[in-house]
Amino acid sequence: MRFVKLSILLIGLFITNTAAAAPDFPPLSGRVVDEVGIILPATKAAMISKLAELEQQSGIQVVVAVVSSLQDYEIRDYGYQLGRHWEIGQKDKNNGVLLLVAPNERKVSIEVGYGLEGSLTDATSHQIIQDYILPNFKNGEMSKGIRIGVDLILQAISGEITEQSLAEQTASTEPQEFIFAIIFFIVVIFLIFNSVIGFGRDSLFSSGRSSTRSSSWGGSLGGSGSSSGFTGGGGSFGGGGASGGW
Amino acid sequence: MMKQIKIILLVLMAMTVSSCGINSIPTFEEAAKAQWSQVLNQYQRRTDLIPNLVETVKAYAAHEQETLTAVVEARAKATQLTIPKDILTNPAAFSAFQANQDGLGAALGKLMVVVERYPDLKADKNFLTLQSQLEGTENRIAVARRDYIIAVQEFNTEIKTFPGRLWHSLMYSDSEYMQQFEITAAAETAPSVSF
Repeated sequence: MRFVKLSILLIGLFITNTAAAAPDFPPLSGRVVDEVGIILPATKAAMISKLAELEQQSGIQVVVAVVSSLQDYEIRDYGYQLGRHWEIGQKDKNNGVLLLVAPNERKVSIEVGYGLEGSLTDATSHQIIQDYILPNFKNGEMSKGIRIGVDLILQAISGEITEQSLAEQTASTEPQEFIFAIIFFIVVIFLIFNSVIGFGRDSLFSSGRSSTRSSSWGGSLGGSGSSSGFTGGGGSFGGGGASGGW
Repeated sequence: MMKQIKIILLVLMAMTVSSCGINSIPTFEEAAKAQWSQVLNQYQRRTDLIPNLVETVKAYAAHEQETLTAVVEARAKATQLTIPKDILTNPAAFSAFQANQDGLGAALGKLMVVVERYPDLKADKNFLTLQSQLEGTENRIAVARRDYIIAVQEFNTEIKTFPGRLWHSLMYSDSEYMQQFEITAAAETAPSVSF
């Protein structure tokens, strides 16, 4: 009897010991996890397909997370732990990136797995945040800021942009933005048509049901775009990246 | 035939024993050592950034000589210290190492406050790159330190508690307690470079 008590005590100790102070993390429901609901459904769908394509080609996992609270943690502190918790990136390569946005704390960070620190450097991450994401966030355009941030992260990973080229681009942002906007617009139109035609009544029905929270035509898009069964690949994070606030 | 059975029994025993934590002490010890080398790597990374940073700041803020010298001296102090092999079990060497790195962190922190007064410097692309690298490196140091703390906690707990305590006295008496970082005020306030 004594032994049983002792072992229960020991097990109890073990459990409390391993559950050392760590934040509560939201579940990894897909490549774009938006607890707050600030990402436009069309943007979300477009990002998800881009990110899925990236993983298919290179094995690299990029995840966007919008959390409702950082639970009193520093964003960088919360960010690397969330990245580890979700195991973003492949196990041996640690090639994951987490774009973390905390609208309530007005903080954003890019967490870079060990394996990508060479292409998506601290300086590049910093420039993406300061020069592209934050200006949009300051204008209240959260969804746009996140979309541009993801595009630039992908370009940095593929080597299309570097610290230097980003610095030079900063001055000539406007025309590029315009092209981005047109392409995006076309993609959105295409997706709307696709979902309406493709799902017929079902899509109308489901969009009607989910319209309580998101815009009426968007509900079905978000549903059709989210990849079910997305999981992390076992990657880890060591504090690479950058953060900023607005 | 008897011999074979004996061997099988021995193997079985070894297998059950290994699930009792006979390997835990060396496993945790190696893990903690690996985390320690990560800590060293990240501190080294910071040390490597400093000459460039100092040169860049000098170009714009030459009369902040005092702050710059403090950084250079703290760096020299940190690099001159030879790290003994037994640093993880040697309290004096460990705290000397920590004091040097904290001193360097504090000197850098002061420098990053001073540069706020120089808008030209803050607009310099080269400086911005270095600043973000420094910030990233400080973050990596914090992560590496935390990982080390957790690994050492596991190792030290294993030695202290049953059944690790038993294995420790039986087989691994040469594995000593490892040193732990103290969270100092200086470490906590290390360059909080805010943008």
